[in-house]
Amino acid sequence: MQRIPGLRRLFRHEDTVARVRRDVDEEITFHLDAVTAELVAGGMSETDARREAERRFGNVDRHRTNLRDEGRERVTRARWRLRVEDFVGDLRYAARGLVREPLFAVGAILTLGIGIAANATMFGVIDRLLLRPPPHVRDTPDMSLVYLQRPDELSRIHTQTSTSWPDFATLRDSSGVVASAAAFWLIDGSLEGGADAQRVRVGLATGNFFTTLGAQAARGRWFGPAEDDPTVTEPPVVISDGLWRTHYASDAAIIGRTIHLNRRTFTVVGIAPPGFHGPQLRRVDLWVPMRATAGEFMATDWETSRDWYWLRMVVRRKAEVPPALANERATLAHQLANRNAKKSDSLSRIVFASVVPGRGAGTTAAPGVTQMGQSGMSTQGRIAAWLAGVAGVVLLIVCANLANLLLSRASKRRREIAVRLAMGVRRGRLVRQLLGETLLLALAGGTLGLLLAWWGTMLMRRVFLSELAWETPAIDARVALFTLGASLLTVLVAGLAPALLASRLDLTSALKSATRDGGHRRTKLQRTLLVAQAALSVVLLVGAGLFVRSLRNVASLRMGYDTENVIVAGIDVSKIAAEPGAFKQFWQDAAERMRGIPGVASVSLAVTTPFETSWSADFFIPGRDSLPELRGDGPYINVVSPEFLATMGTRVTRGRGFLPTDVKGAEPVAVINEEMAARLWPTESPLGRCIKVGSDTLPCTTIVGVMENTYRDDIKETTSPQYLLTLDQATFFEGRWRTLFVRAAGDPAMVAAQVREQLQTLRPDLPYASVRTMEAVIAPQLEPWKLGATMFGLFGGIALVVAAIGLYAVVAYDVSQRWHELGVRSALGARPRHILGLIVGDGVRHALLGLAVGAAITWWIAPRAADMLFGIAPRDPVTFGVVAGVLLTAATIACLMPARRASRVAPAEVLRSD
Amino acid sequence: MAADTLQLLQGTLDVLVLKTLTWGPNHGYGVARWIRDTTDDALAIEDGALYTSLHRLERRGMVQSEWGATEEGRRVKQYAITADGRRAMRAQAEQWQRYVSAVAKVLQPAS
Repeated sequence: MQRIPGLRRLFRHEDTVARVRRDVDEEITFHLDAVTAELVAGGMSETDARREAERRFGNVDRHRTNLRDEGRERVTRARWRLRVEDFVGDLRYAARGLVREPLFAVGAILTLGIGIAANATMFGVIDRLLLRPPPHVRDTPDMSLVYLQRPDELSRIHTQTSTSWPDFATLRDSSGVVASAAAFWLIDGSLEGGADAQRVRVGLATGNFFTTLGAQAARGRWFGPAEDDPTVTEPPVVISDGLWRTHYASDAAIIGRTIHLNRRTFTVVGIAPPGFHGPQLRRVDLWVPMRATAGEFMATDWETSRDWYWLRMVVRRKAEVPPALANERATLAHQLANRNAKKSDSLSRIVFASVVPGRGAGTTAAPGVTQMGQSGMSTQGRIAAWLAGVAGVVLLIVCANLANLLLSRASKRRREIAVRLAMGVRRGRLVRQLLGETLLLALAGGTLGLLLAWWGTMLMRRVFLSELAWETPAIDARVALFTLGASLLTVLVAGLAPALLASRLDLTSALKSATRDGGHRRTKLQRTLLVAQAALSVVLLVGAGLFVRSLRNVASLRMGYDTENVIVAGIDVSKIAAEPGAFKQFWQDAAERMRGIPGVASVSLAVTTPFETSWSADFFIPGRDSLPELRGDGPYINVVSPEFLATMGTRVTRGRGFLPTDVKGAEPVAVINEEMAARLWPTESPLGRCIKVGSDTLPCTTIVGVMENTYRDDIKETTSPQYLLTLDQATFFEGRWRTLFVRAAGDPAMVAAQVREQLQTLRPDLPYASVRTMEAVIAPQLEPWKLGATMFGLFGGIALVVAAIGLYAVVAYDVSQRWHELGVRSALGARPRHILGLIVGDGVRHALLGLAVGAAITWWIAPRAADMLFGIAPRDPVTFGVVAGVLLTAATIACLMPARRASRVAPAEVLRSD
Repeated sequence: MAADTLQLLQGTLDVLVLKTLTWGPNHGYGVARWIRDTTDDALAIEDGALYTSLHRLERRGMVQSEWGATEEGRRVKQYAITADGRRAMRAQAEQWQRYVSAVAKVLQPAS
């Protein structure tokens, strides 16, 4: 016979404190009486005998107290032992119950594990991205990242993260605000050269950068303000822990040695602590002093020009200045300086935001200034926050599903529970037993969830957040704690209702009714849970649908090029001796070598690269004073080889493209895009028109062709006016800025490898060449939608499966409960298809109701995600329709399996079994 | 002085109680009386200390107790030695013997 926890107590003699007192008293009394009697028998008087007995006993009261204390302690200890035994017993009982119903156990643990994993993964990402300061950065309220908020022509506020050196200097010197201001800038550099060249991420930092952040070097030292000087010939460099381990084999002797960065010699002075990447999360391999090296990486006028926005600022505010006042004062100083410099940037406002992105600005913004809020977060941070919300919804569905499974199980066990109650198991104990079961589920589900989360986090980091430096383990203490908490909370929420319901069971009715009882089928709670599950699934599925369609729209977007088979190659040629024409010669040689590679269809050079760089030059049309049609939006210029249109696959819509005859000395020609044509010559043909680029005193450049619109900077942009000139004819661009575009006829990967080899060997003294496919250049543009589509798709799929499992389980249980009723129906002439319809109809009704509720929620919530979608309305009816179809199909399938079983009920068998 | 005596007796008293119970289950009074009679009251043990010892031994699982009745029908707590108790008693008795013989060797008049 099985042991039933809670029952043992009935047959067990339980000690209580009062009882122990009584026992002690009785024992002492007996003893004294016995000794007295013995002495009286020896001839002593009653009174003397009593006194002698007490004397022999010692101090009676003290002994009595001691014995009582001892007894009380024993009782307490015994109770605890009992409690632990009971608890272990409950768990054992629960484990047996789960093993006895493996389908239920596997279903519950799996759904729980998946739900927990989704949430633990998202929590891990959010925690790192939004909730914690970057590693080794002092997290004090005065530590701030500085943003600029700038209104555009339409008074929309744009948040800008970078600024110019003079603007930084203004802020640094506003003594009323800032205790310490540091600037940094990240850029790619080349470590060593020639065949050994390796691309590294270089951080340029002012001398006070590390002290401002409050970070400590792991080995050696940081560099200081004294070394951050342009006159330093061999500047210091601090290498990251990662680079030190991978590239220098963790050799501490590297400190003091020299390394070459972009062919300049640096002395290694220290190694950064593991995980230190400055106040952001992007990986940085090397830190070099900014003023000593900015000339290498930046335009030569970096120190004076307010036109270059490149620096990021990290600042420790003066503790005594309130944040709002600090914003005001800094803004005032900034605007004043810009007004004096006659710059248009006299409207920008300075905002100090926390180094912990999730905290936003941490200030109440002045009137007219939007709160930093989300705009202070990285794009990844915003998406991660959304996905965390989505993961939360998945967990809600899991919760509902688990509650439903437990409810079904609980009502299946009504008789068993009733029997136990009748045998004297206390109701509180019963609730504890049922909770013990859910606790086991929580532990198992949580463990599974943690495993899945580890895998999920690695995947997230590698696939979607590979740009960021991840040096912490995938599962740290905070994530583990979160997982534990989430699992317990989930099962408590899911398990409480069934447990309470079971304990409120009416004994007599439960004992009398057989399991075939049809009167107590499904509680209202279960129906509500089914509807809620379906509704939440709809929300996620619509989200998935919208993102998938956005992604498809983005991917199929004609950007004005054939992106397949185009390879983009660049190399920093600034080290080539600056004799006239050296750059031009290099690029011509490079292009010539590319043409020699087998499988190359076309090669051209251009000044700018789509989505990465763009230029705008002074632009005039003879006979027009100003060009308001352009609305300050360009026109953007690119200067290219004549083959450029062919290499990129850009179509010429009117007139002609460039010809090999469009050389120096021939008539200067230009090709403009449709947008430019439409804005400047809306009614007449632009062909043959004269434009002047750079100055209105130059000779005419004649428009000979119109090309399709091409995307310049951002997939979400409305097309901007652009035009092309040829490199031969437009000579005013510095010769070093060129990018090679190569169209491969065959396998682009093969060609790309050849391109790299040719570039790298053409001038072995040049740094690392960058060779990518055009698709890789565009990929970051697709990333948000890819991430959204994948994650929403994944979570939506999970939700659908979990909800379907839930529906299946409830319907299947329902069928087993109605077995008798169905038998009677069948005996009375109900056809199998009637019964099929009955069961499926019942299940699908819930799905329909859930669909309606879910659609309503989504209808209301979807417009909030509008800016994350592309080319699709947030209330897109097609998506809603498809989701409805998917949900109803899933529901029908989930109901069909148990319904088919129900339709095969043999009436005779059912009735006989009574 | 009394405290010194008690400390010396702490372990010894337990052994004595256990030894007493090897003759069969007994109540506290019986144990006290047996010890008194056997030692001719030389040890001058307080009866209360005996009960403390019994309860302590019970907590340690060396003694079991049960409420029974005397011939006159009075409720009385009976103690019985357990297997653990017997083991402990043997070990401690042996140790005690060694101790006694060692002390005796020292105290023997030099010859």
